[in-house]
Amino acid sequence: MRKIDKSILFSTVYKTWLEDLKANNKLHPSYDTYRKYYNDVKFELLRCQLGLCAYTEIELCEEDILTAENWTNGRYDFDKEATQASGHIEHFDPKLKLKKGWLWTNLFMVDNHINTPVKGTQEVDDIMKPDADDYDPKDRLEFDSELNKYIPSANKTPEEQERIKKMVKVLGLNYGHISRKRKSFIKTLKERIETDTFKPEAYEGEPFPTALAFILSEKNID
Amino acid sequence: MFLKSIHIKNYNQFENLELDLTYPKGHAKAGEPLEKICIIGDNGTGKTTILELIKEYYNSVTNLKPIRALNLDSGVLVDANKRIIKKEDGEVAFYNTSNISGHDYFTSRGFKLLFFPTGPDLSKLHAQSSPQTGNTIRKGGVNTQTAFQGGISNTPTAFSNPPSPGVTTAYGGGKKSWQSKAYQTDKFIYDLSDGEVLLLWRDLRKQMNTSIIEELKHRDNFNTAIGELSETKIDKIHSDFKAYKRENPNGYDEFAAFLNPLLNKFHLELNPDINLRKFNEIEFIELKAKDGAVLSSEKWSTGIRQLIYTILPLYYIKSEKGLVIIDEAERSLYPNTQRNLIGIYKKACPNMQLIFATHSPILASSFEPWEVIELKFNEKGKVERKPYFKGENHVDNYHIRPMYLQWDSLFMKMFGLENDSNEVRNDMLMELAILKRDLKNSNGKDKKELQEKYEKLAEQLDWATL
Repeated sequence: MRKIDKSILFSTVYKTWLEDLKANNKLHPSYDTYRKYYNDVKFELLRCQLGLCAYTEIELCEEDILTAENWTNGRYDFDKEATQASGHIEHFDPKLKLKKGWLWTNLFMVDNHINTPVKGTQEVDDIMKPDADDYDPKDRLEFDSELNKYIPSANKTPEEQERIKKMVKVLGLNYGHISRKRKSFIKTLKERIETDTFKPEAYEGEPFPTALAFILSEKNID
Repeated sequence: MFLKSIHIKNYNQFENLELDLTYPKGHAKAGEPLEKICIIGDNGTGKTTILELIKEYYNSVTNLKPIRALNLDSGVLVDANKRIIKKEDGEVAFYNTSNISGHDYFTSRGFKLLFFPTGPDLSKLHAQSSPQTGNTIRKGGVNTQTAFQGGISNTPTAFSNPPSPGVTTAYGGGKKSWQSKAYQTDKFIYDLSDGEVLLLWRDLRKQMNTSIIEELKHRDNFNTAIGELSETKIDKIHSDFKAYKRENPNGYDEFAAFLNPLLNKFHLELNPDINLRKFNEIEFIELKAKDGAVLSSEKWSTGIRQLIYTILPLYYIKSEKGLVIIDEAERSLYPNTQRNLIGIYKKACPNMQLIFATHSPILASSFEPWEVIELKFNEKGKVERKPYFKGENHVDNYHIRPMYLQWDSLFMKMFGLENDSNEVRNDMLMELAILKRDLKNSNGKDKKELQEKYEKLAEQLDWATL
């Protein structure tokens, strides 16, 4: 799970609307019934996340539907191609969904099979929030590339390690189908390194950038 | 006359399902109908519906008179209910020019359809619940007389032809192979629901008995000959008889040779100690256990019943052409038996097109990817076939190869399982990674203890790595 920069660049109408709600202390309309900015939020999130699931880093869409041309006058131009994007808008802290359902900092695009079935409405801890100011995967995590599992960094205190471990489970970072996809990724990557066919540029915009960074560091490759 | 394609339009969960059932380009048999097909998919995706539609399709086709109700101009066949449409292939077009009915067409070519529905009452395999003989089994079809009329009482017994006196050297070893008598009725569809297997057994028994009667004549001659010969010549006759048996196995011997390799895996065999002179009185197959116990069908396990329930009709029909449709083919069978099942069925009826529906990844792993039809709900809630190839339908373009996959991969790639194990295993793998890290970092006296913990957990996790 890499750090995500959530500056809103294109869905500016949504941004203004949200700022207005905050400035005037207005209630958010119900997330479940109010759908006006759904696509603006969804595709701006996907853009921030480079088309990957915020937590597990599996691919949710191609990046070509996330470029500036897909927005007109601050709104996302929803076309047929955009239906190809999978994933759900996820409320990081489920307790905020009811009253602040459209709060930008609480929203992420997440794999469908992680959002409800795995994370659900479990309690969360900001120690593993991908857009938090102090979040850095290398500070919080280690990656065992043989067992294909994220574990808490040994540099954290035992209490922090417990909190991180709990969140690794909540966010599904090691979950079955994710591990499965990551397994092929790691295997291919290691084979390429071993056979001297690894090309960094082939991995731009690809899934699992955090696992990639950990493995490259493990192999002392810049 | 095998199925080459199926097109189901606006029926139940199918909106417009087109199934190509031929070998893809690049295959030695490209364009020819698949010899075996495996339908998989979640509950409710319509596996059983497709199997039943195929049966109904053939049922309606065989009931149709020539040309009438067939829309051949458009190159498709529509059944009476317009529920299933089969694209024309060379042989179906036969109806356009022939004067014979569909039913006669199929039967004249020895084409059979065996349909094994899901969930028959297998307890009815044994004789206590035996159905009436002489039934017309095909529903709604032409009133077809079955082979079972008359039953056993009309069959001459082994004693009706007493051996000629004075014959001493009847055992020259000449080959008199027992010919399996073809099923003489014009029955086309065998719906293997309750009791049907028992009827097939009776006909098979009747066929076998012909060769047994023949053998008994030789046995009687043998006995007579022994009575007249000096002791030194008995050995010669004995070995002559053995040679005769080797070259002229009776129908029951052949059946045993076919079935026993399979039964032996379960420490069973076809009961070899039967009274040949009362062969026609054997109500149903008897098995013999390794400990010598003779097991009639009510004492069989459900797995053995399931095997016999499918194998017996296949053996019965073995030389014929046609279709075998088996729903839930893996039912009650242990994984190791499932592994070999498709091979067993294929061996039993090499000339038939086999169509299975299953929930078993082990069974699915016996198929080439082009033989697998994976059904999936689309976003509209309609059922589609999940493609296993990208681009052109060519053997080189298939990205899933069931035979190459481990069981867990089969579950995940073809059976929609999201996880490769219980989630507890994933949690424990994480614990293992933490232990491994701590073990690496430790230089202290806890190292040995950590190592023991690590190795114990690793063993429990089957030493999982990538």
